[in-house]
Amino acid sequence: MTEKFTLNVNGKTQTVDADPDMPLLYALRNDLGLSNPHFGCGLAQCGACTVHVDGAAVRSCVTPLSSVGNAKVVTLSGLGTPEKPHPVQTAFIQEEVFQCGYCLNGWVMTSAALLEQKKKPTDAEIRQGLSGLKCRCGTHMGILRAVKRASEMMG
Amino acid sequence: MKQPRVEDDALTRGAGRFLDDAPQPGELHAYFLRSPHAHAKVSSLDVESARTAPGVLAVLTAADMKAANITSIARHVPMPGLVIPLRPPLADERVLHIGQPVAAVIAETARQARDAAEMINVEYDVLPSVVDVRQAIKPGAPQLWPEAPNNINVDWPGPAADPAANAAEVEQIIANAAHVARITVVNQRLIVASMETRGATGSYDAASDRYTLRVCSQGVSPLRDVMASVMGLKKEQLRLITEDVGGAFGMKSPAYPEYPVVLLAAKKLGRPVHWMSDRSEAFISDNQGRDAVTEGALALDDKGHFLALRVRHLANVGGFLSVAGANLATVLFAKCFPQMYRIPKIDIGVRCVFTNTLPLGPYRGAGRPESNYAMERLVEEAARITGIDRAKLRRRNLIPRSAIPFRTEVGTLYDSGDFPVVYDKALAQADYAGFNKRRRESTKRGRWRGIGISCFLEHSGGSPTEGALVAFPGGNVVSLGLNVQSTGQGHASVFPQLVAQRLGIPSEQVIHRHGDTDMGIEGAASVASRSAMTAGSATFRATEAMLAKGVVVVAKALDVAQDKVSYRDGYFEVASTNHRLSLFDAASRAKEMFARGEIAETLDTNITVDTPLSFPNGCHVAELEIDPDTGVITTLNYTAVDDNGTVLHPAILYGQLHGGIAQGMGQALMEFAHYDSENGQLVTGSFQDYALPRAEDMPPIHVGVHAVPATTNPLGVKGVGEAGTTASIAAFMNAVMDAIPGDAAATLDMPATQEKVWAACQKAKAAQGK
Ligand code: FES
Ligand code: FES
Repeated sequence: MTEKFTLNVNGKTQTVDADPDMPLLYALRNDLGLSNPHFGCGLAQCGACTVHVDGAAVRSCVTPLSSVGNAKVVTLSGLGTPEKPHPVQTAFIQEEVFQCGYCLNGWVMTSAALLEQKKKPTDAEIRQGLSGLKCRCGTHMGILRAVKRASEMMG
Repeated sequence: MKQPRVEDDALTRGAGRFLDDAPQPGELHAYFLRSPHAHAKVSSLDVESARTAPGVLAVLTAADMKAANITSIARHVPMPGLVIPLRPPLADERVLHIGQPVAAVIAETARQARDAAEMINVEYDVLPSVVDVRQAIKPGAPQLWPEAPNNINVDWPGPAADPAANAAEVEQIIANAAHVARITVVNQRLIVASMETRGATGSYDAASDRYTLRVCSQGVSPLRDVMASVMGLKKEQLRLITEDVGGAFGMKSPAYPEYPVVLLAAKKLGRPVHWMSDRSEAFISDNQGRDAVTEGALALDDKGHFLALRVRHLANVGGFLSVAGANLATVLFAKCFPQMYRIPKIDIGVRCVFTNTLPLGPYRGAGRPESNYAMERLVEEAARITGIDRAKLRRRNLIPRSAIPFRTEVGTLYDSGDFPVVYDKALAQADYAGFNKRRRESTKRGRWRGIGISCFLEHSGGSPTEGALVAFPGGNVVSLGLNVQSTGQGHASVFPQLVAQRLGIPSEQVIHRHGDTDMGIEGAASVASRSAMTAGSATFRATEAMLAKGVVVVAKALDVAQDKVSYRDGYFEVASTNHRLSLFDAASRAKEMFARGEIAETLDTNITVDTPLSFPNGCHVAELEIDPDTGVITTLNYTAVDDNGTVLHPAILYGQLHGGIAQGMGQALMEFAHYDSENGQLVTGSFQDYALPRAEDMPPIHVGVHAVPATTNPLGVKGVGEAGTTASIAAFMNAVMDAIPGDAAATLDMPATQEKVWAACQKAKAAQGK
């Protein structure tokens, strides 16, 4: 049974006709054509699908469409602009963190939300905050450096 | 100086194009019904009700594949005595591992396809199964293939010219030696788990009778060749396209059963057919890694000099043989010995064995980590039984620089390397000398501290042949086309740079193209740490060849002698005049002259070159602490000093090493793909049960580089992609074993999980108490 949902994604209002239980991830990818976030596991075990919902990092693969309401959804492509990237995006580029970049969505979105909540996290808090995320290419140490750098950039 | 990666801007803005990000117009979706059993006869298969389910356009089974003459996807390099059973894309009479595809449903949406698959009725006659390689060769074990008695896929006698005589000689040395270190070690099975799962989109153009397969590969040309052969097509009838790939590690290089199915379905239905694996499906459909048991014996004289090595290796290949399944466990495995050491006599024998498990395929290192791990565990055991300090024992047996080029007992020629210097640097950087003091401090805090050394040397390159295409598409740009595929290694940041530097033009003027067989570039996949050396060499040679043609063109165009023309920084210049022609003008002149039939070729240059093996090497040191009351391991420090030859891009080199070390740590300390020995089910079938290294597990990694350029390629580069994994597994394990006092951990096998470590600690405590 499909229903009409009005979503606020990256500052734009869009409608999606879908099953209320459908994960937000599929609405974003298949209905709205946003190629980020990514599917990594579909079970909240990797973070590749992370988006911001009202500023909080959530796993869109386990977020039912019906739970989103009129919250503001932001995906990686809406986090910054080419002219003005988010400091986390800049820091990740400067630290030359990524390899394949498939997982990147989860780390960047989670770090951005983390730094919004806590401007100057300690190393342990960063590790803790990112603990549910996976990267098979093994870029973890670069990620930790980049989050530090971003936190400095954000003052 | 940092050179930011070209790839990162798009990736960081979410503008990458991975397979599932590129839906094709009008595409249908495929869902594969897979075997729930490890070994069974398919006694009946009824797909009729699924065929009429909502949205369904077709259900394919083995009958459809056979009718199209697609009988087997099994391809392997020939080896004497090797058994290559047929591997039908969709199961025929029998299934040999869980997850084997049995039928494919094609529907308008992925969900409709999946729902319809539930309506397929399959009856299985469950057969006894065997998953463990040591069980599979026992008398009475379930037999998988009539053509493979005792489940032996191949019994490989090793590289010696006369294996029997060689084995007898080695046996003699072992029997008379002052000391013999003996080990049996297990390389547990691993899940590759690239973050992007596998997928493929097939399409077919009836007008040209041509197929296109968009697929996450590691190099389109070799996979196109295999797929054309599987489909019974001429190469020109199949185009392969690969865009961004989210990690591969060897696993995405071969052909898989789903690929011919989506191609055939696309032809039948006249629309593109897309399949993307979900995560639980990836656990039971991707090739898996390692899974071997190695017995080793190392003979030493009374001074601790290595005299002879015997290795007996039992490798699982799974229910079917994957593309390199037996090759990696035999030839690739053996070629690494004796790593950095001088060992006068070596006898290696390998048996590859079928079991009711997913096929084993290349996974980061592909035979090299298995070999290195066995060697470094042997050396550690030798230190234990002789009482010689392990660092001194290693140093004593290193091949000195003066002996290089060095031909090993297994016939490999090391062209370059400076092992003692690399080794000394690593120990200095890890402050090996200060370890005992640090250990005492840990002991005071109730922690057991250990240090693990791992010397490594591996052969990189695999297949020597690789191509590059330097071309002028028009405008002031040159394009560099490559067959090798970046799956995270930053090719766009490395190879165009080589062209730009040689041509003396800004790197923005060099466009990187890859992932399309229509470019007509030959080569092998991005495997075996080979891309930098093979594609780098091809890029170098293609650029030189293009310039040589340019000289001829410019001499003709300006009517001067060829030897008066030279190239510098974007221009062909005529000696002692101010006449010159820009690179791009020369390219368009060449096009005109070619059109008029005045020259045989334009400046576009597509060449294929052979690049011999190179030998990355290094020494890694892991230092960690164990809490003996809980078994929890904390890695404190990790040092790597590597010789990867000339470094093309430092950040990418470090990234490759870090990533490799993370994967090695995963194998040493946490990862294990566990099959139930009763029913052959994969017990660790999700990220819930299968542990991958996390950010909080990673130690600080200090990488030092001691580059000795390779002499076997024009750039002097050696491989780096697998180095970190090959080295780190033994470094971590040796450190764990060192931390636990006495002999309690002498036979510890991977992964050194908290439970196993805790149990070993209790054993050690009990022994201490006595
Ligand atoms: S895809 Fe959502 S957490 Fe993995
Ligand atoms: S960069 Fe490849 S999975 Fe993280």
